[in-house]
Amino acid sequence: MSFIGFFIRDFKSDKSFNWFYILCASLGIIGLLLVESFKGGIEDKVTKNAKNFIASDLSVSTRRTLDPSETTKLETYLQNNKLPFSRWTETYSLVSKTNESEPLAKLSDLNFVSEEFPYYGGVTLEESGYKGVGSWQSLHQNPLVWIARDLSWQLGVKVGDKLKIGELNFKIDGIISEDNFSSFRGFSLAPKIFLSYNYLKQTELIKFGSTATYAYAIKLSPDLNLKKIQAELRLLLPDKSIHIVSPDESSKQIAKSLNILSDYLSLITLLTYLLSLVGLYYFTQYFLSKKLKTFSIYKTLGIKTSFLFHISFLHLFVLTLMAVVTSTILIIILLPFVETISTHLIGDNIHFKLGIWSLLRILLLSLFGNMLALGPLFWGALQTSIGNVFQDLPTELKRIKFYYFLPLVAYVNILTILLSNSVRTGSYFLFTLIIIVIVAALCFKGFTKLFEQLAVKFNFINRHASFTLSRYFTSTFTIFICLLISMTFSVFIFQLDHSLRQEFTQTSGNRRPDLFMFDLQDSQAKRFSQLVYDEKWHQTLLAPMIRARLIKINQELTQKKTEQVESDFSTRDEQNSERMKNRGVNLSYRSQLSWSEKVVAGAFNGKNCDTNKSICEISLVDTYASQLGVKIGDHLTFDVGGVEVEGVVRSLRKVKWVSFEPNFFILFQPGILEDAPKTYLASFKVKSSMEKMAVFSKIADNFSNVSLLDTTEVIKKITTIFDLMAMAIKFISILSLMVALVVIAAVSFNHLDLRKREMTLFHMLGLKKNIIKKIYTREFLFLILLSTLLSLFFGSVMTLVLMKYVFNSESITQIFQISTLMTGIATVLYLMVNLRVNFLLKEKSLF
Amino acid sequence: MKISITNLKKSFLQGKNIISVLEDISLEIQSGEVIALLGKSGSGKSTLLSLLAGLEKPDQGTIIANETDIVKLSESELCDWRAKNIGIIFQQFNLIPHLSAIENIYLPLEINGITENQKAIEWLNLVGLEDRANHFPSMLSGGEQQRIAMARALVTNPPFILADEPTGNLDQETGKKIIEILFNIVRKKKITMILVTHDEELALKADRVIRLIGGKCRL
Repeated sequence: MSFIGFFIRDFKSDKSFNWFYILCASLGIIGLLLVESFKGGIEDKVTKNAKNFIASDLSVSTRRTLDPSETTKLETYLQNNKLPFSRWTETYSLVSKTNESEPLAKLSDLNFVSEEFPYYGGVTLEESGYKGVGSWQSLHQNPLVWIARDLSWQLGVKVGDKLKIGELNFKIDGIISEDNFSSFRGFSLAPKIFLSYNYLKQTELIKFGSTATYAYAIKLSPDLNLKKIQAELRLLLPDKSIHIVSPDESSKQIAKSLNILSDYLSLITLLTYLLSLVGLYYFTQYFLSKKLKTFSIYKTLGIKTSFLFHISFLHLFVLTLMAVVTSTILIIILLPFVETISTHLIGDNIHFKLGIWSLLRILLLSLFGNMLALGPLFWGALQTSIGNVFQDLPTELKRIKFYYFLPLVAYVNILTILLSNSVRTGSYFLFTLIIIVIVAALCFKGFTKLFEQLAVKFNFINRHASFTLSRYFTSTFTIFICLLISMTFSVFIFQLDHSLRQEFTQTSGNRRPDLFMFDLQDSQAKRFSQLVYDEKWHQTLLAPMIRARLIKINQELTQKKTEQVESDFSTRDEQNSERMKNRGVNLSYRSQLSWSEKVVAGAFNGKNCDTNKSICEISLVDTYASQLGVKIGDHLTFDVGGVEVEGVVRSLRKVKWVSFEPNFFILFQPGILEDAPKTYLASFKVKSSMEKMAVFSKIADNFSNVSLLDTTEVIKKITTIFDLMAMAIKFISILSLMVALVVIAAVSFNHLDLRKREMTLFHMLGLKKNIIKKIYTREFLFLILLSTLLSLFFGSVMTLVLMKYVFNSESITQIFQISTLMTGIATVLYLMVNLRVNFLLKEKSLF
Repeated sequence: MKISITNLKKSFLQGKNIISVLEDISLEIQSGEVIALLGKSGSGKSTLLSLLAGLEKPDQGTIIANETDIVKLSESELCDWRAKNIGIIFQQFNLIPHLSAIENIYLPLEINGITENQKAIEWLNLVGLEDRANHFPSMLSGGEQQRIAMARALVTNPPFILADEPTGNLDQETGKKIIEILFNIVRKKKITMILVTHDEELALKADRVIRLIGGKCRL
């Protein structure tokens, strides 16, 4: 017998199942493909612009100044190997107008570049007499600057005006309309300024502890081995705080924020895929229960079970392939629309890219998932005794045990981890999903059984509605669980969005400072305090900040790993943990905690520490402690300017970071770090915008190296980015909800269609059509009501947990909006069911 | 229940063609009379049953049941009339699959607004299935299902029974038993019954045999 011939005949005979499968599976895959193409677009963009981001073939950068020996080693190596290089120092500072009676200063991202800069990339200038690529040579001849268009608007300046940057005045030579050193617009803290490295010293902006990045941009000829040079430089500069990165590594880092977004989008689309699997499971079960007799007949004719298994596997494979093709076609149709949205979202053009490997990956992913989910059903069908071919009784599928699905659970767990790039996020996601399904199943079973028992007390309509709910368990539970999961996640996303927005804009609003200052030198502290006193500013906090490096945990050295690139870490968790251990840290000390901090374990000690008698106490932020793997009682040793300082962890805190108060992961007891070299951070409340401008201006005049952030503007910026991210998540969520609704509608219709005979019979027995309709719609009303209430509960609990334990805040329930959302979903489903019942009731007779 | 059928016509549209199923049928059925209706497939038996049950409207003619012309009744009135006056027994049993045996029998009583299920229990005993009260149709044999279906048709004491090949899906012995029970009850309660069958032997049990040939009645 020809395998293919048999398969084609068998395949063609199951047309309605094939259509349902392709519809359901393609809707499940479409979200995954969309996010995959988004990722492809980001990767494509950063790969194409990789060299532009670091303006060279290799970058050596650090957040501290290189010491003379490091500088000598590096420059000697570069000169000996005839490698051209340029210097690029980036720092933040206040920039003010010089020709205005009304003082105005703004924080800017200053980029001091040397003459050879850049080897790749450039800027487009306008309003400098011409519009075109900026000529870098002109920057180095005089104190000239090119400033971002945003800054020209904020300060109200144009080409030819003068700006005071640090201790030097510069003339604006060009307004930047576009620069391709930036990654994705909208993610920068302050507008950019380009100016010559020659004037860096004269500006006097770089002082001890200044927040700055010092980079060497290195040009390599194509015949040189990048990896070899990277390795040789690492040997010369072993300190891991010095980053030696290639364009690829840099671009990966640049795409990080968007990758985090796409990871979360992937999780939502995975949920859609799982919902489609529920739908597929339902249809396959129905299909197989009808197909059992055919399988039995085949077996009586001598066809082996293994042959039928291969036919079934091929059937699933072909259907999944067709689903992937269908969703790919749909994606191609949808992409222009989605790209337009993403351009608004990212503030930059990303051309979604769906490569053959992505398609293959999704095909394998869905094929494997579908096989694991539906395989047990096919296996059960093929194991059913052939004796039933002689029976007239309806045949039943072999009972599927729950543990048959453990491989699927394991597979989904792997998927969640891979898609979220985090063991913790992925596992929490799956754990939450499993808990929801278990609790929902228990609730559903409990309620329907209770209703069945109480049915005698109900009226006719409710009695029969409750009978069908409990006695058609498979289909009613499938509809219920699809509804519940999709609504729970809708509620969750909606609530979380609202709660976070509230957190940013209102919750801490009254106590949040208006201005945040950093980079104040120790030597300037006294003069600064006097200024605050004289001007009667309301300074909320002045906090010292000491740069240090964590070197030992419980006397064990932390820096064991050599420099690793991102690809060396399997998940983001691992990467974060290693980064925490390897990177420099900021220490502080204070006698009492600020309003934005709360001790969650142990006790905070703000008294002076007597270093002769005991080890000083440390308070850590709880999440930081868990990432380090440190608990109360553990000893930490830091390198503070070459001196080892040891402390013992005595308390863990939660910090409300959005408070914009100067907060630190690590707080020491006072009495040990006072003599260490440090800078200060401060926060202020202002009464009016006039006072705010005055603070900016006075600080720019008196402390030119100091940076001052307007927290309102930062909040506005964060809210804008948050809005855009929320929009992307909502877009995918709505897509998921629509997919869920289609799956729910398909399952509901099938559930109703199977009962068409029953409806006609009711009518033949003398039941009026409106009563029959009420029985079925009441059943769905119950399903909708129970899933709505439970999803409200689950969604709120999930938001509460996330807000409390991750954001250290409260969740806010938006009853009105959520009710509207729920009512909308419920109405759509209710109308669909009503229409279908009306249609099915057209049948008049069973004769 | 006395039933008078006069000049009954019914046709259906099949594509662009009008297919005449029943042509000018007139029939008088006396109260308590049992009529055996014979006919080949497509002869119009099912259409006649649908018209008599008020599930379809004829193109022409009247059906008067105890002085009520059911053709003139509205959809809602027909439902009430059907619930009170007709019991239907099917070849395929047509029990509601998610209702137990007792719930299936109780269903017509519920539809008639009777809240006590005592009568349903009595009928369950009468058909000899008291030990199957809480079994679902899938757990019953064909004969048991048909006995439940029969009890369901008779539980409201309808004056008119429509039995559509009630033994068609049963073996000979079970079929005989079912017919015996059915005829006993029908005769005892003087119920008017139209029995559709292909079984000539069974037809002879009826008071009258009517053959439907090409949409027309032949006595």
